[in-house]
Amino acid sequence: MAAVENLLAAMSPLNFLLALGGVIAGTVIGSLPGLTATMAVAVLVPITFSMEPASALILMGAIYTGAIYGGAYSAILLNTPGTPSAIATTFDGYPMAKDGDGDLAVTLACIASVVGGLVGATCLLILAPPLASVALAFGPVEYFWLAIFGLSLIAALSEGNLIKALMGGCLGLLLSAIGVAEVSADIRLTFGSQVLVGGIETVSALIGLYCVPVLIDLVATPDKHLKVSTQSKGVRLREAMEISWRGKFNLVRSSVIGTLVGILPGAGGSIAGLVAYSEARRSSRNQERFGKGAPEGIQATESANNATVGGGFIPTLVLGIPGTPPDAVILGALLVQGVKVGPNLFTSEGSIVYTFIWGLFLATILMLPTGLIIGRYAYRSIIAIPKALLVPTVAFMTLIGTYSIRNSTSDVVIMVILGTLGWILGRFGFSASPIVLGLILGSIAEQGFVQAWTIGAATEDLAGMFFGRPISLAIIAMIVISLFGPSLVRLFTRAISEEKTP
Amino acid sequence: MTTGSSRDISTPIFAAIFAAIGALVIWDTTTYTDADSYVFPRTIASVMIALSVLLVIQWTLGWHRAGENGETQKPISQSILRRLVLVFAMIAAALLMPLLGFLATGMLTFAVILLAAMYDPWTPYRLIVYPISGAVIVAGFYLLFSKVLKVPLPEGTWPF
Repeated sequence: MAAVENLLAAMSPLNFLLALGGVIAGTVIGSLPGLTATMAVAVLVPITFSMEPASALILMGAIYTGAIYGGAYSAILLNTPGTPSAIATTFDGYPMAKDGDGDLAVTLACIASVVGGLVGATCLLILAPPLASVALAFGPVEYFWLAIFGLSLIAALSEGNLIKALMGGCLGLLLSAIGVAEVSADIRLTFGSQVLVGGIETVSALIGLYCVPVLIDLVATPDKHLKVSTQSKGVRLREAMEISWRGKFNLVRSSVIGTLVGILPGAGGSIAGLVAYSEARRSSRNQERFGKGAPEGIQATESANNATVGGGFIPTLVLGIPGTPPDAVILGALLVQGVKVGPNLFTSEGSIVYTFIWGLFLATILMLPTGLIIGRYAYRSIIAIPKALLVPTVAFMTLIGTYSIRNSTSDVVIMVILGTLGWILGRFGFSASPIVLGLILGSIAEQGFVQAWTIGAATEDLAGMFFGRPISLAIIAMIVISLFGPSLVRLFTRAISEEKTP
Repeated sequence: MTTGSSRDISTPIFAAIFAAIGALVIWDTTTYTDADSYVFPRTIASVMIALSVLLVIQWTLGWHRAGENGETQKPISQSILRRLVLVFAMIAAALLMPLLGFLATGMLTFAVILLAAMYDPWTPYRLIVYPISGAVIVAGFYLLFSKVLKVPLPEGTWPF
């Protein structure tokens, strides 16, 4: 009976409107490059202080889930991830949009986000306490290997030369080390420049490396930005549903990956999306299509990153440890409201928690109609706007988005310079994605590496520390498969075809 | 497979640049006081140098597929000027923001990039609609960020 009461409480007109408004606001904010899900939640947190805790949670959850989904729009239509969670969405989303299938890609992303969100919320509803213990099983070395697993996606992204891709990854890792060292506070790789002391801001670097090269190429030719279909195909929901049904295993697997990664404190949607993408590519029969417009890539990334919403709430609510950065903001808002998170929350304040979880389901389901409508509008706007207006508009969005992250003009300069370097490197076979991967995963990899190194050195068992723990070994096995799997499959296929050829 | 001598010269040049960056990083790490600070960048820089050497070996022996080093990229066309205008306009915007304020800088930058991206002939319709659209877009984003999202955008140091 209590479950029905909580469900009805979540469906109250006020909570319904909050869920709807939150999803719409989150989607719009998330679609703007530079405005992340964390920022979307943080900006709107003060509104929740006067609300009931359950309603406040529903609003914040809806904003969060909407923002994670909204990041897909600019990733697909502009090759610029609106949020870091949507990095891997660019890999296949933008090629699809360039081929005239941007509407289909946006709808696929919407369906995948809804599926991922529902799987994450279901895990939060029924598995929260046991799954929270997963977070505690991960030590520094597991985080290190998890980051390396994310980096192993470089092999998948190297469109030709693996060595160049690995060099790009190293460059990204070194870029992430610029500034004050997190562990020991040494100032590194600034070469006397005050501008670099604050380090390279990840989101602004991401905007630069993905968006500026596109702008540089757009401005150089009179060609249209995206290929436009001669007849309007609407949102192509039926087609997207059929593709989603065919990729149901991919969707569920990616959602589970997203939930599990979301549980890990600090890992977040970007790692979830990358790991799920890597796994989808590894297990696909059409590996060669990935990176060139494979719907499976979008499905994997978008379902995984939205699953981190429910997954991230598990340690936040059960352990009081935020699973993702937006969860940290939400945790702070809950503490302001006097809600004591912890293992007893589900029993002592069950009505709040379960009303919120049902509210999260509601917000996720509402994401389908709102996402499709906003997506259609976004797609039509992008293809309708003349190029002479589109280029300065996107350029201006990158400027204001980058500036607003840290209120820093230096970040804007760094963004443009990195973007220009990315364009130059891209012309010579060094693609931007490995650099971005290195940059994003660098700090997690370094922290895990240094802490594991310190513990291993203190216990005089470095090898055991890095290679002797069961979870680490499982991740290492996945890394090896991810790195060398594609080459081995290629060799195997070639050997078979040579055998068949007389 | 293609031979090293008949191909692009860019690969060894970039390998040298990456190796030099790696060496520079290793040199910089010698000034750090704590082992926790240098162990990671030094390891990564060493790997990058090793990869640069491997790349040169691969290039010399011609062990790569055609196209993967960027040889099939379209040549840079006449529009290099437009590309340069875009990049310099964006950098100039960042530098002018504190001086002119975000709104004025945004309008100016929008106008310059609009001109750089304009390929269609300027009809009376475009002459009126494009600048107005630009002003609305810039002002709209400015208001969204400064008033709704409360981002403290630069106001400029106008003397009046």
